[in-house]
Amino acid sequence: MSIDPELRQMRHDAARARAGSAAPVRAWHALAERLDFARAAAGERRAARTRAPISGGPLMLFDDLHLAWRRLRGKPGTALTAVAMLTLAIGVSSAMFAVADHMLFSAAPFKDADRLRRVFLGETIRDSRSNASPPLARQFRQVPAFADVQYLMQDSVYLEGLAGLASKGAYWVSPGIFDMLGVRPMLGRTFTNDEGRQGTSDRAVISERAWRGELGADPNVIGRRVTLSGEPYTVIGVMPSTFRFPYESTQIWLPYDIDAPPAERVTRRVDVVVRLDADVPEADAASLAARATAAEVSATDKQGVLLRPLEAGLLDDYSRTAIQTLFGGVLLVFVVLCANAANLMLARVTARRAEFGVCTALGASRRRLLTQAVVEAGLIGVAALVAGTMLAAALVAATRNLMPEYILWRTLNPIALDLRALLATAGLAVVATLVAGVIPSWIATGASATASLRVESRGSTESRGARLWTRTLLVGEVALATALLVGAGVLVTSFVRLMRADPGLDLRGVTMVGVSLPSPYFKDRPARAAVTESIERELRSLPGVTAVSLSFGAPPSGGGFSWGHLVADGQPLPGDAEQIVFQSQVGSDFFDVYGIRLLSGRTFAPGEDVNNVIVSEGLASMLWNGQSPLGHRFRFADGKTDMTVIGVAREVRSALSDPREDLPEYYQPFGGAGGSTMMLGLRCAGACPSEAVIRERLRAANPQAVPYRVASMASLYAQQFERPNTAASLAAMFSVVALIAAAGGLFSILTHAVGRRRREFGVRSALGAEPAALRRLVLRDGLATAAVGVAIGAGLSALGSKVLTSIAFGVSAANPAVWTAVIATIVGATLLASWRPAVQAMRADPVELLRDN
Amino acid sequence: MKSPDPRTFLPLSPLAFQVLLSLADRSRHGYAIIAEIAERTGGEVAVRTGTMYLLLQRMVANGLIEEAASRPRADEDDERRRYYQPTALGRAVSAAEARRLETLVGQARRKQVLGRR
Repeated sequence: MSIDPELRQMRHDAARARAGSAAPVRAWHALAERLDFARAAAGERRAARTRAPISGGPLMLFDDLHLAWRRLRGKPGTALTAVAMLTLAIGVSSAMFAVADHMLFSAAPFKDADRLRRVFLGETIRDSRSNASPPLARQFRQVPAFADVQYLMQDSVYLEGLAGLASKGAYWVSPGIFDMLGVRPMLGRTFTNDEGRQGTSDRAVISERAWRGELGADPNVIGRRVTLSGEPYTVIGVMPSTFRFPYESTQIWLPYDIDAPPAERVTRRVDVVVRLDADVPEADAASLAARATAAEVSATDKQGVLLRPLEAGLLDDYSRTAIQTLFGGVLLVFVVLCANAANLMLARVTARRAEFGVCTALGASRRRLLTQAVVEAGLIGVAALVAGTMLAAALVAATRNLMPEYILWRTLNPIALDLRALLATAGLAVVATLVAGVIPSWIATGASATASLRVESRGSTESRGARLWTRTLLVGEVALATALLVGAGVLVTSFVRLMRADPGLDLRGVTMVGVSLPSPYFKDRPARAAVTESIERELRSLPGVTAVSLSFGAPPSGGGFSWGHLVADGQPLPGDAEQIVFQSQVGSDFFDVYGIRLLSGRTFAPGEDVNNVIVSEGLASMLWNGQSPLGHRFRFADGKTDMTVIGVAREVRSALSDPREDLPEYYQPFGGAGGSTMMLGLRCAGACPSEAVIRERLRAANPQAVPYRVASMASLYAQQFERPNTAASLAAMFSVVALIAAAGGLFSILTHAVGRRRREFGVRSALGAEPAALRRLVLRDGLATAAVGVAIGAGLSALGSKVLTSIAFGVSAANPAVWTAVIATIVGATLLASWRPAVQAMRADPVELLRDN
Repeated sequence: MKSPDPRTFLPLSPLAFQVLLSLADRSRHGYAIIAEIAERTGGEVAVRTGTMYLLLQRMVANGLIEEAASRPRADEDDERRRYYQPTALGRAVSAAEARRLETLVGQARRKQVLGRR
């Protein structure tokens, strides 16, 4: 690249003039000159480029890329920090998007999922039925609006596997359902149309989970005979674990031909899944279906047809709200990080305003300058996109491994970084690049040549536009950080309260064992009673076990529930709401074993009258509102006999995190061993035996008894804490990232501002300003910014408080403790971020500063 | 083209002011400007060639100085040198800057920043 001859000449003149001075000085001068020369030469080259005519074309773009690369490399610190922030922003948001998308928004992962519908019978979804009598169900095939109609019927079976019996969710399905969903088995085949009748219904398709688990990943599984609830079946296919239908828990599919079902399933009601004809609008399809089937509606069916999409997400309200809230939180973090990167880039390009001014003066159009700046921002954006995608993939993988399994199974979609998530990532990257790169460039290239000369020479603050933008971004960052902190504060406080909440029973030293005795293996009551007794004996003999209580039903949610209108002492309760009440049948030692305190009355005696009951505090106050319930009677309106209260027990909190799910309970005397399901509570001195030991002992007692749950009471309750714990940890993490970003932004902007105002501080100091006053000036600057941010953040939190309160436990977003902590944190972070710039301002030495320039 | 108001250039960068001062009495080439400034300020203001080169370009772009048409005698000259002289705008700007500084010094005097006389 040639250098302007004038510059060369100037340098030559300078060298000649220096020829007379002493050697070391000469050498030093020569070195300094060479560096300066190189800089000027680069400037010359740059100017030559900007002077080039605006012709566009690929060569120009290549030049721009080359130039942008050189610039980024020239000042890698800022560029790398910006890339890091955008990477974090893009990575975290994409990962959260992937999770939220799969949990909440995605259609079920089936062929033409947007045209698949579940058929419900009824006028409104509230009082609809999900299943139809077989004649009605068959009639749906006559509806022209349905391109395909398939049937399914829920069941559950015991699979005899390597480790004894295991309970599995099963569905009887019409053979065509796999084709309708567009799914293929990983091994073997699915059902053919002649399967599912008498004689051909002993085939089974199993899930990959069951194959790898109970069947030990047997390579010769196709054609293998397995025993399901005591009956022999032939495995014909294995579905991959990504296939979850109709529920995530379904692991066995059995064939069912609705036109010729085996005798035992002739009258069973079936669920109906249809594929809509592409040409018929959905509303028309529903009314067509209602009309075509009206003649077959039986007494047990309901009038009217409702069609509902097959939903992938099977979340409860809490998780749904929590994921939405966290997704919102992530977007806030995204905005904060982008704002921060934008500030960095703005500082970076502001420093080049003089250069832009010269370029403009030399004839570069603003468009030309912008193109260059955009190319530079684009490079940063692409780097952040690549790194962000990798980060998102890592986070999604971590989520799969770290999320509680029962949350992961709550979607028909296996969570992965799929095309939609990648598109979202790319979209986020574009937004991030635009915000962080293009807007600052727009502001900085707006400088007029004269203004840039003036500003540079004086070393004052940046242009008004840049300052306004910078401060707006900062205030925004602080506001969002405040909102996030309030959210995190509420969730963390709520979690702490939840941990401290009194469950109403003693969680330590109790393990609950739930056992099923499947009817195919245990034919009658005496057989079951005998097995139960041997199981109880085995468990009692385990080391450390001091007491065993046999019951039907155990905390937290009892054995069953009763619902209906309650009648207390012959008087129906006011209001027409139906009540749901947990009920358990328990022995006399139940309350001691589980540590549930009796508040009044007595526990059951041996041979207790079956109509004597013990009620919980909650039920007592619901029925008698403060009076002692002892000796009072109650029943459900449709029940025949009154129950007499002989005792009152502490309320057991079944769902600590959600009071709406927390139901009152009552206890009836245990009728003795012999039921097909029972719970055994083990009270232990110190720690209870491990789950493996207990399961081993149960297998020894009887290999056909199915232990469907072995868990310490503490871990059962800990499961309730898992979702709030995850939500609180994530929210805390997000708000910390936002806080650090906002504080970092404040720090760099104040440092920058102090640097630019050094002369002003020098003059102030020369004119007699106390150093402390200078420090105050800067601190006040920082705190004012933070104060405006907090005020706006408070408004934002108020907007989000309703949602937040709905997933919090006994804490509202207006909690004063949370606010005190948030404000203290922000003020602390602001002081921390402003301190060094403030001290720098204080140290401004007027003499040195005035000598500058 | 209507020339801009000189006051829009104020305050002028000290170096640009020095260049205008240097060119006030005669046209000079780049290194001569450096040398003149160094001499006049007793070595206080030492400008490097690259800095000067860029500054001159910028000042030409802003219309403060222009390339001089007249050149010295051939034996002192090198054809690669460019000689600069202030434009009318440049002279107006340097005068305005000088007045501004004068006012400033006056204010400093009145505040006795420079000590009592």
